[in-house]
Amino acid sequence: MKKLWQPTDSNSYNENEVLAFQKQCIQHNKPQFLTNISLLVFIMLVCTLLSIFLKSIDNIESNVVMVYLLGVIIFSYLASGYVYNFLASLSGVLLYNFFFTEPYYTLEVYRHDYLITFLIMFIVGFFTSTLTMKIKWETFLAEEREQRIKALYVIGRKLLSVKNSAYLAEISAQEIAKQFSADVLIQFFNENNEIRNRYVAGNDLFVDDKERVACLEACQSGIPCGFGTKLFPKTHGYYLPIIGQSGVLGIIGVVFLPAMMPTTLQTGFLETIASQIAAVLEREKLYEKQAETQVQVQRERLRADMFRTISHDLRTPLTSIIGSANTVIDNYANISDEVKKDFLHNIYDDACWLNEMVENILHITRFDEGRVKLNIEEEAAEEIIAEAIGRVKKHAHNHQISTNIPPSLILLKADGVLLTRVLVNLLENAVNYTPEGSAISVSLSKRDENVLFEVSDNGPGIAEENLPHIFERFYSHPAKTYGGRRGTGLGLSLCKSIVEAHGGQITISNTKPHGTAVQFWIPAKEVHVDAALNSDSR
Amino acid sequence: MQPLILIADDEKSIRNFLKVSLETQGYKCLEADCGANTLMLAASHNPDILILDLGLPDIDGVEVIKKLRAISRLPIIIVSARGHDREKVEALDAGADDYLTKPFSVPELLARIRVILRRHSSDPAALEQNKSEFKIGSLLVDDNKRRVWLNDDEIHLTPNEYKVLALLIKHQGKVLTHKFIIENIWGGMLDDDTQSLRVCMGNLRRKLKEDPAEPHYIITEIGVGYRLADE
Repeated sequence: MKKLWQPTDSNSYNENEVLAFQKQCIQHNKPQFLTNISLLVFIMLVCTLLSIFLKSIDNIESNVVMVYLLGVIIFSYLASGYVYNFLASLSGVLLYNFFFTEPYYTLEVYRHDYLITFLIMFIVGFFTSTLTMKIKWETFLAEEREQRIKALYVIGRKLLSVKNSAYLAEISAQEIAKQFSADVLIQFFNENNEIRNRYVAGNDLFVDDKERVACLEACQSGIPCGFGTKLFPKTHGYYLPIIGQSGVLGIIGVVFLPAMMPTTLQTGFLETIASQIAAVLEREKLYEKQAETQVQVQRERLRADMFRTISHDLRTPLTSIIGSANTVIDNYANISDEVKKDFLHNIYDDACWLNEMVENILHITRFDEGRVKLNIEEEAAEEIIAEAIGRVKKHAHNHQISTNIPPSLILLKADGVLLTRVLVNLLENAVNYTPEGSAISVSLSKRDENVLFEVSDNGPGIAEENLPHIFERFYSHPAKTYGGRRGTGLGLSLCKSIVEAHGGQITISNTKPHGTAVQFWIPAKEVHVDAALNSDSR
Repeated sequence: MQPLILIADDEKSIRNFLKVSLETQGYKCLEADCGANTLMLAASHNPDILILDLGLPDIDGVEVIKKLRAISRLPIIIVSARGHDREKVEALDAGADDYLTKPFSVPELLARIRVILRRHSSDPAALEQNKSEFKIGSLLVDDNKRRVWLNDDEIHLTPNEYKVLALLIKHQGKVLTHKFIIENIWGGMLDDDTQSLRVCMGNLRRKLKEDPAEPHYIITEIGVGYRLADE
């Protein structure tokens, strides 16, 4: 079998193949056989009538011979086949014998030199008709080859522009199906030999066990299997493995219509396409690997940044805790109870702050590592709001938190714990960045299929130039909180990750006359979380 | 008599501050640092309450609860690290009475202890009396007549809503998991479908005129269940 398509090879063709082609034409096309025979009868009849006419004019026998030869050649051009050539030549000779040699209207001959004429006439008829047939066949081959080359060129160009493997499978299957007007299966495998992409153009005739076995054999052995090959020839499909540098990358399965043996032309064409597909897949693999490395590098850098920032942020309250505790221990007898209590309060506050921060860090690292598995359940939105407010209220005695919840119950599919964290973070921000006595409002509504949450306050708002960066990690509001503490720059970034993992969106804006409003929406129905998560795992 | 509280935690500093806080409130304390000790002390001293950390080094917390439940009705408050919600629910379903998430505040723990002690110390006669009529805030429930009043206005509940409310009242202060409520109200017919329960709760809250920012009666524990406010 030829390894690659070789255009220089175009003048040679396989004689056996032509024969096989002829045979199949006869075997599989009974109606065509009958048509050809009637065509033969018709042509011979015309020839005979023409000959009778010619003979009646000038009685030159050689014209008659020529007329029959012409008939044979015309017929052989219309109906290719050795059998037809033979039949046509024979019938030409017999008719000539029957009608135009003495004694007329019998197959007997008086003059023995006529036998030579018959023999030569038969040989000439058979030879020329065979040559005609071959010319016709070669023209056919040349045309087909040209078509294939054109198709290959078109496919090659299309494949070059393909962006992902699913699309590659689709395009190549469709193109092959178009070329052969056959049903085509394309399958790609991943590293673990699992099917990564599968596309079928036309009818999916590739599912029954026989086909699967042949397909599997082709994948494992790396040589073509199935119909028209020595391995599993009883199947409908012809299976050609797509082989790249790292082994079998996929498989092309073709069910030829009608069920004809695939010619070397066709298999060669398929092999060329297979190698092109392999090249595209390899390229994609390399590209993926490169992108992955880049992501890894970036992730490492982010992680280093995070550790640096976190250690810094942790050290500030820890310094204060250590200092306060130390002071109390060392000067226990010398300081008043009032001061001791004050120090203990400081320690308590710092520890609470550390706890909140650690919780955010834990969530964020889980998101970064892609370890977050959303625990999706049917939740009532108002319960989540109540829980979040309940948690924040414990240390926000001087803010007024109100809610605006519609009378009808709003259910949504979400991870209740994570969603509570979003609201807690937003409420904590609202409490921390507004002066005491400010009003904070949580409202809930449903628009179309989305559940909309809003946390707004009537505090001073956020400087416009900071708004675009507010969801970036470690971006902390330059303004200090009213507790005199710096933000960690983790809260909002985590909120964004959580909301996006649920397939929603979060936005922040300033309100009139003053204040901040954070809105986020989440689809009420469950979303496929993988895609959303991937977009986040930078 | 002073109630006896068994503290099971492998962290000495946590046992220390719990012991000090509890003793200043007039409780007696016992300490256990592993599951085996906990089981032993619980059996030998018959404490009134067990405060159990779910992350003991030798035996899984849920396993400890199951073993204890096989032999006694000792009230158990579990303490779990945040993020272990499933474990928490499992422990509650196994028979724990209440839970706290680390880090918790001491006043919160004391409140839970008071609720449990009150529930378990009340003598049968008082329970019998409580059974027919129940009052919390401005909510009044007459269990004999199956009628409910809020601020002296009668409110009408559907049978299921009433059953949920009665169940919460029966276990006032205790967290009831979704599974527990569903099993008690709908029987096995609802499986894990919590939607009916949430809808029912939503309606009940509306009828009780609950303010989500400050619920007076029904408190939601996200990912776990519900409890009726106690204090």
